[in-house]
Amino acid sequence: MKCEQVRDLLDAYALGAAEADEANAIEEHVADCVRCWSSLSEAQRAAASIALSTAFQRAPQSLRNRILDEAQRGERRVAPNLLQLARRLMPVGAGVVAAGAAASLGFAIFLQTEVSDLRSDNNQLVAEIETADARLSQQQQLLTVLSAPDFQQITLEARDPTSPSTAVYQWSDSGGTAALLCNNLASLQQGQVYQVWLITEVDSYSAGSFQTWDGIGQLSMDLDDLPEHPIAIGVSIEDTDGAVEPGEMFLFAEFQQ
Amino acid sequence: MNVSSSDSDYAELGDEELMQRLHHRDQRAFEAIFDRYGDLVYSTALRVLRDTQLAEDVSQEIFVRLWRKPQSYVAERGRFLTWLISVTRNRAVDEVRSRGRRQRHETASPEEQERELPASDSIDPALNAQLAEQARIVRAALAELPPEQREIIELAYFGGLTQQEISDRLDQPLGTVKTRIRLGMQKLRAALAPQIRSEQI
Ligand SMILES: [Zn+2]
Repeated sequence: MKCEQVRDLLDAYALGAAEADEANAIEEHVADCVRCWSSLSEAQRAAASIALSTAFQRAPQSLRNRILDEAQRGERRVAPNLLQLARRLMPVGAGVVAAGAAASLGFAIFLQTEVSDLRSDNNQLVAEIETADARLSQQQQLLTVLSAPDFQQITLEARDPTSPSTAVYQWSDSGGTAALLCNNLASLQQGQVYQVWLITEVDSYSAGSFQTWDGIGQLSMDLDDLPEHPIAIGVSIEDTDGAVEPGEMFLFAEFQQ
Repeated sequence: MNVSSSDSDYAELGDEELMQRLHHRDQRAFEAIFDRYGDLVYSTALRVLRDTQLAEDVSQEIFVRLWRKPQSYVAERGRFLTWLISVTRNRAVDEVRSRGRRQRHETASPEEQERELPASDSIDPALNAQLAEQARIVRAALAELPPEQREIIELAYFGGLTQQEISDRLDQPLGTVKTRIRLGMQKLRAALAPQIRSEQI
């Protein structure tokens, strides 16, 4: 694109009204052309000033409180400590798989605190902030499972062999708790959840549901709430309210009896 | 310790200085930035989104991101205020677009909504004096534009429509839309030249 063409489009671009291909051409051009870059900067300042013409509304006090709270909360950087803790608590001889699980757990913890910064789609951000504490306590529960001496686990297989999704179900009879950790999950459509099922000889029981954060999902469970001798575990995608009967399981594992 | 006097120190600091302090995780600097621009960010988001809950969500996201990643503002590229407004406007427009204009934009077209807007002569008395003066100048400049130019500029900026979309919606030739944007923005730039040159925006 020539300078002249760029100049013609700068105002529209500054207003956010250029078509995508025009915008790309402009961005390429101003990266190398100081004069057009300077014209663009002027147009952008004029465009931004338009916002000042809007009728000013007072931002709600509750919004101010939430934002300032978040800044304080953001200072608690829990991730590295929890990761170290997970490694220290790992039962001796639990083996490579368990170490991998701890690493992926640490990875999940770390990602979930940092990911909001990186995500371009921030629709979930506000909800995430509100549930951060709930997730932290879930993660602590996961650590309890991992640290138990009778810790056991089973790997779930994706029904579709081309799916990158992986999951591991871990439980401790003495601790009375269980956890499911999933990685590389497909993102859900709005109004959907991942639902976890335990299947016995006679029935299937919902163990709860979860959302994903950048492909990672997890659910902590109380063994008291689960059937005693399950033969299999599976994950399906259901509507937000959860289903009574499982739909198609896309992650699945059978327990060795 | 003398909290009240140091609080007012923060209010005296320039935007760029406050942003510098944000890099050092200075929560009081963050608070000062919110108190300076929280209303502007919220009002801008509200104007675009026309939904108080969504406007709050977007504002929260903007400020939280600012706190977590102050480096996303690069001082060498221009004034903080310009950057903050642009980020807010763009994020709010993204939100409108990602919602496919379902809820709000089917009931009333953007141009109808523009007409519904309250007269924007009233300036919040709490608005800081410099911002209030700039707002007054911008409103006067916009009021000077021929209505057809102003309408298109506002449809683009607050409505988030591209030139082609404006052309379709107003049933005007694309060439006419482009010309009106250019002419209107030319006048706006001229009216704001003193502010732009003295780096107030
Ligand atoms: Zn050029």
